[in-house]
Amino acid sequence: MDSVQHVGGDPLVIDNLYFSYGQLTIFENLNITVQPGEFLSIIGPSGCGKTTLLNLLSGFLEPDSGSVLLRGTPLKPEDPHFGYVFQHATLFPWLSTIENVEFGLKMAGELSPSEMREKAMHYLAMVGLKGFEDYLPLKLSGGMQQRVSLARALTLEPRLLLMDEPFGALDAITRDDMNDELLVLWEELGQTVVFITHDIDEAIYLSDRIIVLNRPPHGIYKDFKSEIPRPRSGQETRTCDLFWEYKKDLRNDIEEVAKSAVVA
Amino acid sequence: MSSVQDERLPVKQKNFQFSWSWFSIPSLLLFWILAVYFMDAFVFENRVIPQVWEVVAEFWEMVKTPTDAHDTYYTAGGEEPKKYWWTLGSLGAHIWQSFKEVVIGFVGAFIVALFLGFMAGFSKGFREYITPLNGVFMSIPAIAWAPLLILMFEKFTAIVLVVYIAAVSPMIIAIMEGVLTIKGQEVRAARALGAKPKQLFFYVYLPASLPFITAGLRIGFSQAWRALVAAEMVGGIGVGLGHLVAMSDELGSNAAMMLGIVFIGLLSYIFERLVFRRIEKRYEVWRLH
Ligand SMILES: Nc1ncnc2c1ncn2[C@@H]1O[C@H](COP(=O)(O)OP(=O)(O)OP(=O)(O)O)[C@@H](O)[C@H]1O
Ligand SMILES: [Mg+2]
Repeated sequence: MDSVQHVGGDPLVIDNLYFSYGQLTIFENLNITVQPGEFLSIIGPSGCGKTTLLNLLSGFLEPDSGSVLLRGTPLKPEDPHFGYVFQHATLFPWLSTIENVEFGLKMAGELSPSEMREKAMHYLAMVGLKGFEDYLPLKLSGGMQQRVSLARALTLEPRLLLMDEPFGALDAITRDDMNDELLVLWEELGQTVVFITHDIDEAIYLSDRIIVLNRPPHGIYKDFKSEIPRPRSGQETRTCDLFWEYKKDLRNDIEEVAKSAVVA
Repeated sequence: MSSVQDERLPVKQKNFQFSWSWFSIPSLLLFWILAVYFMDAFVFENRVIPQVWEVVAEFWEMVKTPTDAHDTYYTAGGEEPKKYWWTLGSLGAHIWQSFKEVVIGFVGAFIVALFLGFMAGFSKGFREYITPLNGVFMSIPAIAWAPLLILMFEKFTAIVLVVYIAAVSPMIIAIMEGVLTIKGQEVRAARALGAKPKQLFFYVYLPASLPFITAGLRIGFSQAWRALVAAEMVGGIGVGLGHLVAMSDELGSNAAMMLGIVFIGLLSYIFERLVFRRIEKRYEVWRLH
């Protein structure tokens, strides 16, 4: 549970990556290096290949050529070094909340039942759901479900957290709350995060670095580091000058990307 | 906080809640009694359908009558057959016979269906292969095979095989459909949490398909039971509820025939309601979503 270890990990390197679905080319010579402990957001229009990119990172898809390497080896879905939070909370409906959170630990089979329970409770409490451990997922609201799936990904203490529009289905207020919680967790645990979103505010609020993806197969449209200081908090961060500046720029970028698609 | 929780807890049902279903069986019995009176008075010289109390008397009569074969079964070491009230005498012998036949045929069918159903769910090729076969066996009532099977096997075996044939195809289909509805998302989530193929089977595919397996059990059993009764009527082995119904007219006991009918329904109800329905209910909560 030593968070410094995560920060001191290795970069995730996407090198000269090519990928296509049959005729449809999604990436041509994509290169991204994600620094350990970095919070990277990826935004871009619908269909630009964000989910595809996460699937390539996690090993659910294989690149046509090029590589995605963490510590010199490609990631496999079963790899416990990363956690994946899907766009919709894909909880197992037949398991209670706490059993869902324990799932990864149970698969790893390294801890005793009481140790698993203890660890799962720790992360469930971290996402603010203490007291809900015996609920079936169906009895939880959408936001609660998404928090459970976050806790479920965190129990394995992954060095790398992949998140695919995890809060896309939530209302604005819940989403802001979740963003704050996520930042607190991230500051505590220090993993590398690759965060996909449609939402410009969310990306600016959370990230160290933001990548705007262009229409396929053009890859990266823009890649910049945020200068907004940390720790970030609510209104203060959301109303600072830099925030507004980034927001204006990103809005323009995304409009440009959208326009280029119409021309093409 | 606590009010939020309470609201989300399952609503506890009141134990005694009025239901019109309370009247269903009593009204049927009343109709039976009145209809028999009416027929006695106006229609038949010799009444066909016995009165309710005659059936009850017959029940008592059969329970009191031991059958050697049956009661010896419960007696250690072949001494004089003793009477045990709970073996229900000769009625018990019929029930026990039917029970054996249906359980052997049905359990066999379930094991095979579990295996083939999962294979068909996982493999498209096998699914394509087995679908027409299921179609064939589903469109021929299992009882149609009985005469052939009786020529080939002992009667007991033939009846068990009819039960098996009736139950296996619907269960294969139910289990296959269950496996097919498992969401790829759940499998992906499990893999991302480190589940290896064997673990995927036991921790995702199996629990996710349990509601369908139990639904399959229920469908399969109702088919098995119907086929059993029909097969016993055709391939009379001398004992069994179907045999009781089919052969009682030769013995001139319409009350025994009626008793057989009642117990066929009763046993099916007990299995269906008290066993399968209960298992199925456990999964209903999340199955709908
Ligand atoms: N399994 C697939 N087979 C073929 N084409 C696919 C497949 N999955 C995605 N695509 C195509 O690849 C492109 C990128 O899809 P992807 O899901 O990565 O987009 P996205 O950026 O995640 O979009 P959104 O923001 O809407 O989730 C789309 O044009 C889509 O039609
Ligand atoms: Mg997507």
